[in-house]
Amino acid sequence: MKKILFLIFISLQAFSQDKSIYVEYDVYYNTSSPRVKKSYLGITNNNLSKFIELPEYKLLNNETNEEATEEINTTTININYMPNGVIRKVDINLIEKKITSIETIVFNKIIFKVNETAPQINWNIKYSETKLIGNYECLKATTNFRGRNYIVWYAKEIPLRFGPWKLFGTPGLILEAYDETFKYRWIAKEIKQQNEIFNSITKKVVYDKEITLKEFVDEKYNKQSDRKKFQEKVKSKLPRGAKANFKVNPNRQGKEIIFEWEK
Amino acid sequence: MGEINNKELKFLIILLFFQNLCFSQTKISGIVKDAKKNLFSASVLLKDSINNIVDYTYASEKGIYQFSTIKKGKFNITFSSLGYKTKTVSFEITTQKNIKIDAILKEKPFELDEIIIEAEKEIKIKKDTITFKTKFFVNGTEQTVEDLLKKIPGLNIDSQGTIKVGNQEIEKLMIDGDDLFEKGYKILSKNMPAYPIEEVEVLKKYSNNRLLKGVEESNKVALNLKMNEKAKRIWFGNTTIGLGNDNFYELKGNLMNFGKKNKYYFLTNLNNIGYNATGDIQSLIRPFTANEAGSIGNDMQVGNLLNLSKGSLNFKKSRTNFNNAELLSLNAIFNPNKKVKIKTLGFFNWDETDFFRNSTDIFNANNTNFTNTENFTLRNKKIIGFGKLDFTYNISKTKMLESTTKYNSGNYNANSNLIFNGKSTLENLESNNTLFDQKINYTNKFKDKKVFLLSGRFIKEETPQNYSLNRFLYQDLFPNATNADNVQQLSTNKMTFAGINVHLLDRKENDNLVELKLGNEFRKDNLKTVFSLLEDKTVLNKPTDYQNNTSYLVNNSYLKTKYRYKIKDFALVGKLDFHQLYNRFTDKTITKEDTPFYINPSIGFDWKINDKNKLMTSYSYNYRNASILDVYDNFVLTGFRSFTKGTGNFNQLNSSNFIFNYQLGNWSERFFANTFLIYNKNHNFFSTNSIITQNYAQTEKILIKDNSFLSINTNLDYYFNFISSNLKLELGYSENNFKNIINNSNLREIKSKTYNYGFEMRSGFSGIFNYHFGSKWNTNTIKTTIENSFTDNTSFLDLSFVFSEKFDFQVQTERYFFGNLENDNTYYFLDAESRYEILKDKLTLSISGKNLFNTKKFRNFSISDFGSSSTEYRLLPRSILLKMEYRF
Repeated sequence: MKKILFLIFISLQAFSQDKSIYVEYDVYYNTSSPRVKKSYLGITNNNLSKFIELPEYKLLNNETNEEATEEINTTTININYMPNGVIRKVDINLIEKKITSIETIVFNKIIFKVNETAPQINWNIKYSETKLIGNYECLKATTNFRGRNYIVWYAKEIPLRFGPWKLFGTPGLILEAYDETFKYRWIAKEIKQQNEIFNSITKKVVYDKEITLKEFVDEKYNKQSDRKKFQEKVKSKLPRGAKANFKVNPNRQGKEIIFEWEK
Repeated sequence: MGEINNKELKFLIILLFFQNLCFSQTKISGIVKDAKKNLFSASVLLKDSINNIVDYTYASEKGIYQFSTIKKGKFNITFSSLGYKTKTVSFEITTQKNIKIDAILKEKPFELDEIIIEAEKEIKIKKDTITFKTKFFVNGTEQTVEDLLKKIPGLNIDSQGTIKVGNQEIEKLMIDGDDLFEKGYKILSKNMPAYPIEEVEVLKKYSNNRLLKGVEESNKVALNLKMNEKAKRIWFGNTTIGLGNDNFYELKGNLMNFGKKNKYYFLTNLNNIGYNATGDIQSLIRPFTANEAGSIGNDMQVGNLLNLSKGSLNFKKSRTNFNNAELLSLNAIFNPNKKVKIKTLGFFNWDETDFFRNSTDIFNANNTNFTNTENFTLRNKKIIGFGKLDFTYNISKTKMLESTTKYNSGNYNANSNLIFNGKSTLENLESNNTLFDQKINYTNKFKDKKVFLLSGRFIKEETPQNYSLNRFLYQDLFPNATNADNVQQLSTNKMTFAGINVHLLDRKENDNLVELKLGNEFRKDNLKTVFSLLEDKTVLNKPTDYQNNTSYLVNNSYLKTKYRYKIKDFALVGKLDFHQLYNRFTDKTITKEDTPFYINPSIGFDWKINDKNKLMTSYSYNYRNASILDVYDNFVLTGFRSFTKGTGNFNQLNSSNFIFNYQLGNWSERFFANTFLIYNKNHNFFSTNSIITQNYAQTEKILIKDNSFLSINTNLDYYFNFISSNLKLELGYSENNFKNIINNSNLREIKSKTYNYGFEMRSGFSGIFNYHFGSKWNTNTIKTTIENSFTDNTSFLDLSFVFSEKFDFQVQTERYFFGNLENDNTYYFLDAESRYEILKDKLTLSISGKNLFNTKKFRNFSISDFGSSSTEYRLLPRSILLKMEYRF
């Protein structure tokens, strides 16, 4: 009996120690307020990836580092939560074929846990270009995912089909990904086999409401009552002669623009 | 990894009974396992003979994988999974329908190359400069610089073209560090093509003087566009042509060319629709530098004694401006080498304006009553030529020499046709203005956070004026001049200024800023006026009390200190200025001198109590030296029936000023309120002693003690969610207490009070339609021995329809009501504009209608401490202009 328990223990440990991979990515948001966020991808099992994105970020505008020497010294992080910062999370479960993500909507205070069936991402891998990221030779792959064209570079030597955010399914681990407009960009900064911070942050993930992706999209784009209210308020406060144009039905701005059922 | 080991794998090839021909698909499938179990998620790659990936898949939960291909030939199949050795199997597809390849992978301790990666970036940050490489952000559809900037993260461009970084408007938009437009940058961003721009730099905490960067207090932000070599060959710009009824027209043109070394910009504006085109280049002529380090002699200018077109209007000036203006401006920047920059600006403005006014003035003070009527027509012609040359020499990284030379020459010719109390009165005023202004600035950043500036400036300005009046209205003043039938005054007002100062800025390690300024400024004024009584063209008399030949010299040696102290959200600014003056006053008969010394202290603080409460307050005590127009000692004609005269003596005026501002909430929140209070106590001040009769007024400056001014203003914003509209309330009160003498009275105490209150309501609907309306009441009271008061009301209603990005329509209406006018006391105005964009960013058509009710006259009413007056202005008639704007 003791022996069996011992064996189970060993086999459980096997992956989590030997085969666990933690990738730290810098996420560049080249959006209206350019910023860099820190994020981690944790893979402890062939079938499950957990991606977390910290609410604390560096505003590109406020950076005071001289030249480009800002690397290295920022690898130790302080979890300095913004007052209304939310830890984002994307879990991809390949056995259940399910993606669960923690999402928020601007001008809405509710934190959502969004469930969706893992979509089929068709990657075009017929590229001969290679790129060295760290010591890993990476291959190029492209796809159109929910309205944006992504270019990713995956390490052919790490046969894991995961990557940052909801990008998964390439022949190897994605170390760099960006959409063609460079609005969103993930760049691996560090790859490790152990990461103590990862688990402690994962425990801090909270949410208010669990909904399906369809419900979430409806909430975000179709209702958008709070956003509209805010725009109307600002508009009404302008002095005489001043004009402000908010687009009546703004183009979807986020990472996901079109969803499968909308095509 | 990736090593092939044939002996350790099992593979099976099964041939099926059918053999399909040509396009038959081959199914490749199998199971991936390790020694004990099936391997879920093992990666399976199908490669051709030269190792290109043909297809890939992952093993399912049961370890099963599957491919289909129509290709034939030799293939490799690779199986890999984390913690296992990769296996590759070679095989050939000929005519098989199904190929089965199973793989058993051998465990291999997983060793990860733990790495830290550095990546190339599209955004570079160096201190307060953020550089964006444009190629990462564009997609080729960008036409203009504005389109490009819209794609740069962090920049916001509103529908008017105002560029903001976050919420702050940029100070300037430079091209390779050169600036031709200052705040008028929209001309550039809306017209310049985007493709030659390689980099966009956002410069935070921007300083006009590069060496003051990081030393002086600055929250300014600027943009710099870096171009490639292609740019040199491009000429670009826009033109607007507008034509309307009754010969109304407008023509505007901008033409530019920017090379790395030389940049050119031409601008022209011709119009007769009341538009003042010099407003467009005002910021180029006099860049706002009031509080900049190294500024000297900024407020040094010569005042005009006479001005025929006075009269202040409390509504749009363009409605009464009958003009015909032509303006041409040429600007260029040359960078002959890395160290030298030369910037030139020149403009020529020709304008002919007409102005019409009828007024009735009622005088009622000290038991004297009379009424004057004036029907006034003025034609003003002006020709102005202006040139400016900036020269910058970058001596080294820490030293810089700048020089600015300005020259202005203006000629103004005004003829008025006045019916004064029923009699024709003709005035002619010819004025000239010549200005020469040379400034030199040397900046030395001698330590990392310490800078000193040496500034010198020389200004010479002269404004001769010749005034003639074809009537003699002053019989009572000159009883002997019985034959006089017209008068004339020749005057020259000259000023010479020379100043030098050293300005030291020292940013301490604790980030507090110490400033010291030591300087000497010299100013000499000459005022010469010759007033003659004439009969036809023969000079009869030059009355002695009406001639001036005054020279006034002021030498000011000063030391100014300033310290800014900041702890968290509390900032304290203290100033202490020491002045040693030397004044000399000379006229025909006497020379007077004095040497006053004074200290001007000031203290203030800004306190952000919390996110919702902000407080700002300051107190200062000021001495001010009298100016030439306060000290000359004989009468000067300053209008067809007015004479004025200074004190003939030196004076220093001292005052205490207090400012207080409190802000509750934030602008973008539902509720926002702001209260501003200013209180001035003038311990000494200039007032007047006047003799006023029907035909003339003689005013003499006198020095009086204690005058006070108080003003309080409160604004309040409240947003109603249920109607998506914002209500603004405004409440203001101001009080001015002063004293004067009229017609040999005693010192009269005068209390003037103004109340204003009003509201505005504006919608923020997301749809096509929006409204904005408001009303404002203004009550003026003047109390002497009697009290005089009136209330005016102004209301407006604006409607806006934005049908699409291409098509919009706006209507503005205004109503003016004058409480004290018995008839003709209500005026309505309607303006409308519609715009249609035919080709995006290329061709726009618009139609604009002004004064659509065709209101011909506008009368307003005012009161003073000695009476009241009502004035009627003639307005530009209804105009409908069809405009076309084309960008090339």
